Amino acid sequence: MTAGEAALEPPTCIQCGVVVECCAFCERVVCAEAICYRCLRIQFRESLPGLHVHGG
Amino acid sequence: MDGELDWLAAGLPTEGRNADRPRAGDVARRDAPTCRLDEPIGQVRARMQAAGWDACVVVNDERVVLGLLRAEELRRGQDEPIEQVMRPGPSTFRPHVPIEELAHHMIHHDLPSSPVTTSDGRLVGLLRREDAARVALEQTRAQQADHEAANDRR
Repeated sequence: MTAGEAALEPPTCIQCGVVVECCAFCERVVCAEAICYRCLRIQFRESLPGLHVHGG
Repeated sequence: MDGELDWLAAGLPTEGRNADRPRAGDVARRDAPTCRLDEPIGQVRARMQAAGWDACVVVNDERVVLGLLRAEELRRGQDEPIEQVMRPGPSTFRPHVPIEELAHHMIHHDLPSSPVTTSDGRLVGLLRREDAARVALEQTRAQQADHEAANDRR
């Protein structure tokens, strides 16, 4: 991330609207089609890391 | 092998209706150049120029991807180790992702290349945007031709 990019508003995912640090696909802060990691994984039909289940 | 998705992610053979669809792992260049963290950038740059590549994947001894040098990183510095210049922890994609989807994203995001890795991070190859777009276009044309042939038979 450059200093110029850091001063900009963080992008939001075009699919779900969540604010992201940078686009999960191209890793740019300035991206017209910024997408979050979760939506990208869903688009690519990849499994999402599940939560760990802890007893107690 | 942990499960079905890990099987696919390792780029292993599959069966069924979608088995012949080209995927990222089929199109990624297996001969993609790699370098190590401690190599000087000037040396790697010279090697990339001689080989005609504008990207290089930084790997460890197990071929686990640690970073990426795209054209902008390859232009920086001379004697600095790769570790100081590289783009650390780049986005990587699994070999089973359909090539049309990756091509679409690579074009829309203006991304020239992306590393394809197994789910444990080992490099499969480097996917170039022009390769992804070409194969995706061929795939679309083949599907259209099949569709038209099926319509003609009716």
